[in-house]
Amino acid sequence: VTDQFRDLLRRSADEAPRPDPDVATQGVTRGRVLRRRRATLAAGGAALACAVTISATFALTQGPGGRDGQQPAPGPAPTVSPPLPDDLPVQVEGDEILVGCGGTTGWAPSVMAEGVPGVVSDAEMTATFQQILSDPEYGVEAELGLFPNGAENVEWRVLRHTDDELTLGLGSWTDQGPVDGARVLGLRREAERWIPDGWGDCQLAPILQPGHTWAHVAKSETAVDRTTSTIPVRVSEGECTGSRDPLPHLKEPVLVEDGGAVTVYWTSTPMTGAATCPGNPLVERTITLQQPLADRPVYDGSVYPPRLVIPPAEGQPGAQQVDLPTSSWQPGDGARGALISGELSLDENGCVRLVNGSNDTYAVWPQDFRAETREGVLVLINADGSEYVEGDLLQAGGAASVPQTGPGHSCLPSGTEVALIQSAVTVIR
Amino acid sequence: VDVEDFEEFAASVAPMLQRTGWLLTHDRHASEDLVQDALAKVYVVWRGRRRIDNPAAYARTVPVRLHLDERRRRRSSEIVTSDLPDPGHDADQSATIALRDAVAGLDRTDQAVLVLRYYADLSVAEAARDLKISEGAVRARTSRAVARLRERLGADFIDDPDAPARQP
Repeated sequence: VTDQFRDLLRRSADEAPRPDPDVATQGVTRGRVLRRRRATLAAGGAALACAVTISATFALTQGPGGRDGQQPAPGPAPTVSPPLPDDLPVQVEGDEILVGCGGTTGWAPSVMAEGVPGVVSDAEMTATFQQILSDPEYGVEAELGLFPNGAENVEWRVLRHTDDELTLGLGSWTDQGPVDGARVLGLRREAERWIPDGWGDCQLAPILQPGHTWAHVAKSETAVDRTTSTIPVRVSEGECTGSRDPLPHLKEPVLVEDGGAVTVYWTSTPMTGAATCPGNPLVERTITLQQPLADRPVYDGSVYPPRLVIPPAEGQPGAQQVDLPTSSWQPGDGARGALISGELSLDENGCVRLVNGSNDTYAVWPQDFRAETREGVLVLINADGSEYVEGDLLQAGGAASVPQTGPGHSCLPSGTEVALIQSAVTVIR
Repeated sequence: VDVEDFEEFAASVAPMLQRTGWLLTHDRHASEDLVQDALAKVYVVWRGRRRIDNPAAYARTVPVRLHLDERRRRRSSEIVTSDLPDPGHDADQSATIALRDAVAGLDRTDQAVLVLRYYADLSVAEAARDLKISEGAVRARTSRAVARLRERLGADFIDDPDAPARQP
């Protein structure tokens, strides 16, 4: 190959945009988080025991019957459903909707905390993990992504199994799913050994029946009249559909409702053939309940746990709403993986910002995030109703982008990069 | 080795890693993601038990391996439409644009082989070790990739790889 080709490659490389100065810092931060996780994994067993205790305490305070007769409140999404309708387009086992990380197979949420017992032994799995770590093809990746503390004392549970396949949950899992970077590892049996079939993060969703693909439900721009049983929502298809009009393809929604909450399961007809992903249109539709909405919240069942769409009718007395820039991004949408972090704060104009060293970052938050001040303290509330308080050091994934031209949000600086949050937001301090 | 040393190292190699990521993705955000992931990975190794003889050389190959590692990365269904415009250049960019398009049409492993051999200047043996494929596979992929680039770009850009190499 000529020197001319090498020169051409170098010229092409030199055209690379200069990296954001924060990229190196964020890479180091991420490395430190990975290292810290390595150091703390040894304490994983104790952490799991603690989580189980908390879970049990929560169940006792809820009492049998869950939300019945109680004022609905933001927080944990419904996991115990009323009798499931026959036309629910998901796979069901017993009285549980099966969930998984994509694909056509899943498991019951109730196995995620403790796993299916008695399938494989700890010794067999430890040997399998050691074998993965020593494999020249993927050992290094496995050390970083799966077993940063080696093959011993790995916290694992069986989520799903067949004669020749195992799906393990690694790290901390609860009946709500993976916690703080927990992973899923697929294994297949080959000549009396378990061979890794793939691993990664897991965004849980109910497993659909054939002929369906998820549509996501979002809050409508139209105000909700809680005295009626016809509720406006916005719907968009979840898969890449080349921006097709979703209306001809949306199926009828299936609602699971009781006195405490409404969960909407909405699907569409899958695309056939290739499709681009320029962004799927949102369309306004309505859902018709068996009784007026009243104080109940509405959840989108296309993800697990179901995502809050319309919060319950209650608010914090004395709270002042903060104008928060949000996007149409929601869990399950395509996402970038740049690390975004900073301390949650308000600037002098009353805008939410993330402070990271001397740099202030203004963020565009996922759909249905909101913010308010309570007695002067900023509180950021995510779509599930979880709260982040001023001073929390937050971390999320996403991308940096310059807001598009046109009327912008008063809290987004024009012409400079802002952070697009495209993941769950976690508190790291 | 303390954290401050690594921060200094990270700042010094980030532009080089960004250029490598750019060659593989031609996407600012994707290449910045690769830089972050690569630095995080190098940090873990740096602070761990393993000794890295040449951290910069080691770091240079990490984005290439990460780019190949589709198993570890979730495939994004999003296409970013708000990419920043390329920085302005007075020089004619037609050649590099043609190269960008031609390289984008190659198999990921072929892209990696080309970048490691002709941008990172690794030998066949070094590229084979980093990509965890055989030396024969590196040679075969190099030959195939260059042939495809010759088809797209014309022989003026790239000579026959089977021709005798120039002596330094």
